[in-house]
Amino acid sequence: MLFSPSITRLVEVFRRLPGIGPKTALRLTFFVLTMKNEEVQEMARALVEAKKRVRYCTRCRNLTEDELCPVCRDERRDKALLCVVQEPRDMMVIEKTGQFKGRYFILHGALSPVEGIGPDELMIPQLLQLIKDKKIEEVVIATNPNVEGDATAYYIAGAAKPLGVRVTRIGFGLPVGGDLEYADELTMTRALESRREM
Amino acid sequence: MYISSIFLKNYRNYKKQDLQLSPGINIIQGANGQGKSNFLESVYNLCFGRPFRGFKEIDLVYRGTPYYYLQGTIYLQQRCYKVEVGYEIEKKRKIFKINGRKDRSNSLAGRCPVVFFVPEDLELIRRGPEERRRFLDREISQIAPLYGEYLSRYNRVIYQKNRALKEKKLSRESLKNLIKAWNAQIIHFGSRILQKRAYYISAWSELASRNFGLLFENEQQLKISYKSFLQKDLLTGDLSEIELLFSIEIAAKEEEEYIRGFSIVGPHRDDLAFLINGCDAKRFASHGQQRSAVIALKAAQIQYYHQQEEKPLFILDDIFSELDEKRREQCFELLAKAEQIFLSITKKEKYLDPIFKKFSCFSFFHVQNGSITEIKENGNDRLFY
Ligand SMILES: Nc1ncnc2c1ncn2[C@@H]1O[C@H](COP(=O)(O)OP(=O)(O)OP(=O)(O)O)[C@@H](O)[C@H]1O
Ligand SMILES: [Mg+2]
Ligand SMILES: [Zn+2]
Repeated sequence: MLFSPSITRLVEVFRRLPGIGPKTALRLTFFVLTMKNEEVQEMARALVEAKKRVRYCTRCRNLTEDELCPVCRDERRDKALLCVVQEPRDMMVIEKTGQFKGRYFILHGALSPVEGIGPDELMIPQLLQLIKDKKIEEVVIATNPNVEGDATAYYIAGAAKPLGVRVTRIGFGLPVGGDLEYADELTMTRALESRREM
Repeated sequence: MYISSIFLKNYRNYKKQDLQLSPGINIIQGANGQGKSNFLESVYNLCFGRPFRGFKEIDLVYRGTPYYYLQGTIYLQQRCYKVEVGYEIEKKRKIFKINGRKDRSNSLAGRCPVVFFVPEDLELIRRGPEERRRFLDREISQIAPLYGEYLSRYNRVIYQKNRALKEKKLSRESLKNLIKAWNAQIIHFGSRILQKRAYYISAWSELASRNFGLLFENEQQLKISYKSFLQKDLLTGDLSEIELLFSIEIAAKEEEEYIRGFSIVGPHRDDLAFLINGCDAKRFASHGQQRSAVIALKAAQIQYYHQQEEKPLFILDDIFSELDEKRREQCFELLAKAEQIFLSITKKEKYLDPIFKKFSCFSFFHVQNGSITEIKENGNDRLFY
């Protein structure tokens, strides 16, 4: 074996992180070994603490350290408007625009039978309950525009509509700042399909 | 469309090869196992940015080297494109660049008119329906830009839905809704696939019938048609009508799908039917008739492209040795409809003379053990003779 057991173990641990291959894992490992003791300890503590404290918001399943996340606690939010997204980072992207005034529900994934992800894994029953209990008037679905995201959107729409709620899907458009010429044909087709009156 | 030059690096049994190509006909001659097919397949790979017919990238890399790289100059619709294709084994990294820019969406897809003809194609009718669907899908994605996208999404949905149909822990009600969610996309993409298949088959069929008639002095007839689960003339009527009929069909088979546990309704179960003199060619036609029907279809593809604004590129891998005189002649005639031709032969035969007489603009290459040399003309007398 080329490296000591501890080094090998650390490399293996880094490799479990997404987007990290063997080379990067090795580089990170060597870097950690050059860090000061206190720095390494703080890093380890941060990992453990975060894992211990962070949990899902009981209402929207956003990541939070309290019962409810800041968005759910914010009383100025439009209570009748709910946006469904796949991941916390999708919510952050929408939040950054400052354009959306409602609250969220985070699925943490999309329907994918081949990965064993069904409606229950995405907490869709909980979502439907929320729609009923909180008297939501409009559900805006913002799942990814791929096969799994579309199926999820369709499923939620089918289950939510009987509750008397309005269901919308965010539009698919062309990237701003790009030339029409360089838009791929599928994006263009979807943009045309979701065109609207002016 | 034509290719003016190609460079191969660590590709199959080629270490390094740089070639200037003729815009007319390019003949590659060599004994068995020297690299003819490898070279022709590299041309395909360059045009489409992916390996020829289901080969794996890793198998294309010269054994013992870390990557392969192809570069070529393609003239298409009066524009010149520098195309680069490559694959790096260790990083599993695919390269596809057009004019130096990374091209993720494959902007040449659906624009390169290329017809590839290899001896195994002659057995198309004898093979199973999935082989014929693969043929259809491959050829149509070459012409119809969005077809490949629809197809890969459709296949993904079928894969997911098949798994969902085997789901045991959901209530019947939930399962029903779940299947509906997948069906929505099956209907959406499936209808577009149906429409495209019907359109191209009908266009080819007309030309193929004429070609077949010529081969048999009009004493025999060929009809190629699309055998679909949807009992409807798919050519007339718009997409929404196809979608409607599709959804009715899928609703009618819902129970059966639960019981059988996989998707039974959709273009993934369709077939391409060949009728010779009104009878199913797969079951009743002779081997010679079946092969002739395939040639008539290949010819139709060339003719179809020819009718469009861009003349096609035609790649024939050692096909003439497989054919008798009559069928050879028909193929010879087709050559004139192509813009550029790549033709491989093991050795020069008398029957090939008409080709050499017909084309003024040609290059002749000799391949031996992964190395190609051009044999130049010598005055009036071609060295080749
Ligand atoms: N990845 C690779 N690395 C090195 N050599 C390879 C690789 N893939 C295939 N070859 C070699 O290429 C040769 C086959 O070349 P090819 O199939 O082009 O022959 P061909 O000239 O078409 O022969 P035939 O007339 O029999 O069809 C074989 O000798 C094979 O071992
Ligand atoms: Mg060969
Ligand atoms: Zn919350």
